[in-house]
Amino acid sequence: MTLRGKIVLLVLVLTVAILGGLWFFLAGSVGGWSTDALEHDLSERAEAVGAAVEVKRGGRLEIEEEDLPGADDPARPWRILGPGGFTWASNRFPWPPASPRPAPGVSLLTDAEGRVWHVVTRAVTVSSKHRERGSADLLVQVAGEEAPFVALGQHFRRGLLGALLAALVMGGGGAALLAHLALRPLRRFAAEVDAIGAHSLDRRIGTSGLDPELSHLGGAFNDLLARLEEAMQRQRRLVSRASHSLRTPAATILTRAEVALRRERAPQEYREALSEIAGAARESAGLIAHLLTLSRLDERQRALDLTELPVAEVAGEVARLLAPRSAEAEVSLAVEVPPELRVRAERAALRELLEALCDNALCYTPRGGHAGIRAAAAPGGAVELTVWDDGPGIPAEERSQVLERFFRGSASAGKPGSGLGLPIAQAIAEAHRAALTLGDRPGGGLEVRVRFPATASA
Amino acid sequence: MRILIVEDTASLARSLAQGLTEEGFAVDVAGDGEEGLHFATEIPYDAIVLDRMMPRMDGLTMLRRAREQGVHTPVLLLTALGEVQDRIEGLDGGADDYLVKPFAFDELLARVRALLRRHRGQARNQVEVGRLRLDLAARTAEVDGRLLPLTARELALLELLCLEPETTFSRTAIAERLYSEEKDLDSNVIDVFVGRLRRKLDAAGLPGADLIRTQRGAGYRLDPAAAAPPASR
Repeated sequence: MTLRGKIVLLVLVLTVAILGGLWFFLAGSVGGWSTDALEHDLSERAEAVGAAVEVKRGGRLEIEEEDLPGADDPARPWRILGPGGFTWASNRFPWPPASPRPAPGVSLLTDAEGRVWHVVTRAVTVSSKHRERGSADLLVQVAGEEAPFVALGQHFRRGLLGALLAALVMGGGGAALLAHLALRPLRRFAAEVDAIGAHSLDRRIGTSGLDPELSHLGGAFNDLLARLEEAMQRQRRLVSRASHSLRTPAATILTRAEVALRRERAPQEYREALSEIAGAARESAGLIAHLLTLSRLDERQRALDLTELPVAEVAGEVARLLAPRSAEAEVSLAVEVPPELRVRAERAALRELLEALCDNALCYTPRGGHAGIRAAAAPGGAVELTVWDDGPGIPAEERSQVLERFFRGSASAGKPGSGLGLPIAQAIAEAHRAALTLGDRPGGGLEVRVRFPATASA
Repeated sequence: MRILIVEDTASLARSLAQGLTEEGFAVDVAGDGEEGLHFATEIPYDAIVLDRMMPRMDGLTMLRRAREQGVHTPVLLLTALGEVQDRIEGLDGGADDYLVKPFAFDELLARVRALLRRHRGQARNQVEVGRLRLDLAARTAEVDGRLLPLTARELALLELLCLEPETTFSRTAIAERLYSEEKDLDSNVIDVFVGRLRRKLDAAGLPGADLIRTQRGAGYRLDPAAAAPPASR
């Protein structure tokens, strides 16, 4: 059900409940009121009739006609019963017999035509102003037909019902209109949100002129959009860099081969071309291996096989593994790790982490430079591994970017590399809940610090 | 025809340079956008082959700066991004054409030639000056339907002169269009070159010295009248 439907329905239900309750109360009461009004009227008439009787000289009773207007009106029957129980006076009305003498009060009377009359019987003592004339005890009866009062009540009920229906219709229409007006900003909102696609994430929803509630919603939406846009841009940057990294070696291989094949050449030229092709193919293969490593780390389907590892041992393995690269790059690779230092890590992953960082150091440090692995206990039982070099370092403004995949810093021009080494190290550190930070080495160069949290047993 | 390659991947740049040089172009290579911008604004290249993603200054930035500095040289953008949006960005950024990596070298050649042709407002790859007929795509020159045995650079010189007949090219201008930065040129190397080209034209039955006229103190220009068929002379 739409919100508008719900609002209209709610208003209608409320209207029906309030007006319906009112109607029931009034319709129920109106019967009592009409009876009360009728009987009040009858009592007054009975009083008037009683007051019209006068005690004359000798105890004779007489009705002063001028005191009793409408005495002959057949719609206003009355009679006066004398002390003996006989009917002393009455107008034309089929009164029932006077005996037994009726008790004062209210009674109902149905006449021959089936009309219902209310009869008020009242005891009246008529005293003379002159003491000597005495007094008389009389019974005055007046009757009033019920039908006009009942008709009035029905008329009233019908009118009330009509008013109720009119209120319902107007309330429903009003509620619909109100809902329409109230929901208009929401519709505009929806239209604006609808218009935003993957390629227009820079659009924002206009929140000016909106009610505070909607403006708050719009603000929340805009914040969401900003985060989405940022994520999307990061994704696009990643895709474009990955695409560049993957396509460039392919372009090199293809172009080298095609240019070489355009004409007959000396064997030496073919050899050069083939060796360049092999180099580019090797670069591709390395890139693919890095990508696979990263995707494995991203999925992280299996839990890490964490054990307490002696850092010195793993660092030594990495140094031996990289010895040929270190010799080729003419950069020394020193390991200074206290033998007792241990971290909780997966052996293969820790080796990969140190290898990625050392590889990075060897790659960017000029010939004759130095690099190394250092480790030290940090406060709180943590262990900090540091891979350092005395190369060009990474400018502060590029530090957050070099951890992004495929980003290649300003120092990387002409250097081999996939732009995935530091992101891999970062991903491995994250998997171990270790914090990786990039810093300047005192005296120049880069320092990558990886702080492993305290081991459980330490 | 002199071409600038701006590409940060050294091996790819080397291969492109070799291929284009063997096609008779004079080629310079810049390893990043900054160097590329310097080259492009200093030397009147006939075309620039520009990589889009490079460290320091990317291809699009370099292109924008070059255009701002009044460089109208046609640019072929090499991009690793095949997305429509990226291609549009490239073309809007001032590139005349783009090629998605990896590409076939022949396609790159064809596109470079098309760029040169379009830049000259020329619809076909064939240029005819009287009895002399050049095919820029096949890289051949014929006189009366007979192939002229020319080296790549002689052909490039003949092309240069034929594409703008009646224009006088100074020796420096010719050297700039035919040689890349790497070559140190003797002052008379162009004269020696022109002499060789004239002798080959003579051998094919065209008056070499009349066709390529020496403008004393100014340089050389092509005189189309000298190549007119005998009947009309």
